[in-house]
Amino acid sequence: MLRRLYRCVVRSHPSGFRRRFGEEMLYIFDQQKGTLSALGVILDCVFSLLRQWTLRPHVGIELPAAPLLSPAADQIPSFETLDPFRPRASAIINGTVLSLILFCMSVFAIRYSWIHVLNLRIPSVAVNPSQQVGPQTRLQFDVIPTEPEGIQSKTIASSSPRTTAAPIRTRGVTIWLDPYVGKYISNYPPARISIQIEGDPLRGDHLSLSLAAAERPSLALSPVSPARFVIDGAENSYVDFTTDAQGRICCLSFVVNGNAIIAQRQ
Amino acid sequence: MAERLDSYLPLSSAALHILLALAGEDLHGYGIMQEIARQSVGIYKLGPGTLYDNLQKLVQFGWVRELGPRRGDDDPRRRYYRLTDAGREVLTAETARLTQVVREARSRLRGPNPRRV
Repeated sequence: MLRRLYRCVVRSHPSGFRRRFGEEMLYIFDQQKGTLSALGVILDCVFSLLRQWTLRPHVGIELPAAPLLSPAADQIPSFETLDPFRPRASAIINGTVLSLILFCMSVFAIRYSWIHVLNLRIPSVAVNPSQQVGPQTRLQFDVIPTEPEGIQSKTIASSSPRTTAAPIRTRGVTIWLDPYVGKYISNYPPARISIQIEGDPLRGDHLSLSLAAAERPSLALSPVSPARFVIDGAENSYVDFTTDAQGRICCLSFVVNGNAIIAQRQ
Repeated sequence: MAERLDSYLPLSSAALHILLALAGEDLHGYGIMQEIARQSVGIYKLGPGTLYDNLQKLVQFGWVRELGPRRGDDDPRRRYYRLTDAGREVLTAETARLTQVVREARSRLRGPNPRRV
């Protein structure tokens, strides 16, 4: 077993070295007595293997060898390499540098795309309350970086937004919608979220959420509590509002399937 | 010639011991390993990988010549190696350098003890 392992290591040496010294190295291994000394010889051979492939510039050069009187004693043919080619050291260095550059560029590209593109999948969204939406319907939202100042965000609303509304009652609690209305900015991922009041002839006044520059309908919100509104027709999607010390809404957390966008009020 | 030799000095431990082992007689690889172990009283043991890696270098420098197997030897896999004249010169130069080192070390060690601050 150990001899086979040693033979493999010897055969892994460059062809010139192996042809010249391989049989002698096997002979020396055969002279070892005990497993410990055999293991020491194998370890030394591994170091030799590393040296030959990394440090010796003449690895691929065949040295003139004295003729053998007879073939190998064990009559087992040695491995032959098809080509004793070995790349130049400068080519190896160039290849290493090029690989490192490509690796760094790939890492940078992945990091850049991770910051700037975040696909959020909303299971199902009721675009229109009167329209029946099947449970398998999927609507994909792309969170798009905030636009430069001066460019108006596009918001598609089903009705004209307002900033005041009558209070609504849910679970015995009266909720005024006005304090929630405003623009919320997220830095990571960059996004602008608008919360506004919309009036609907069927369901009355309600909050709606829209993402800046997204060519999507706004999302209707229904209150669960003063701090949490769920997105109508979407599972596992809700908006949590946080108040500051004065009791004013200061930020929101837009959660879609466990992915959260934290946005501060502008 | 001396300047050319100096560029190769100091020799590595393995190269020095191999040249030293071959200075007495022609030896095969395993014989070199045994001779080195004998000369260093078992302190310095050379593995076959290190031995042949250095032998390859020494043959390329022209300090050691490969003779090949001997007729009538026990094992035909054994190849013998011989120290060349160039190898002997290098060994002589390295020995002189080491002698100087030893002389310097002895004179320093015999001298007065360094002052304690």
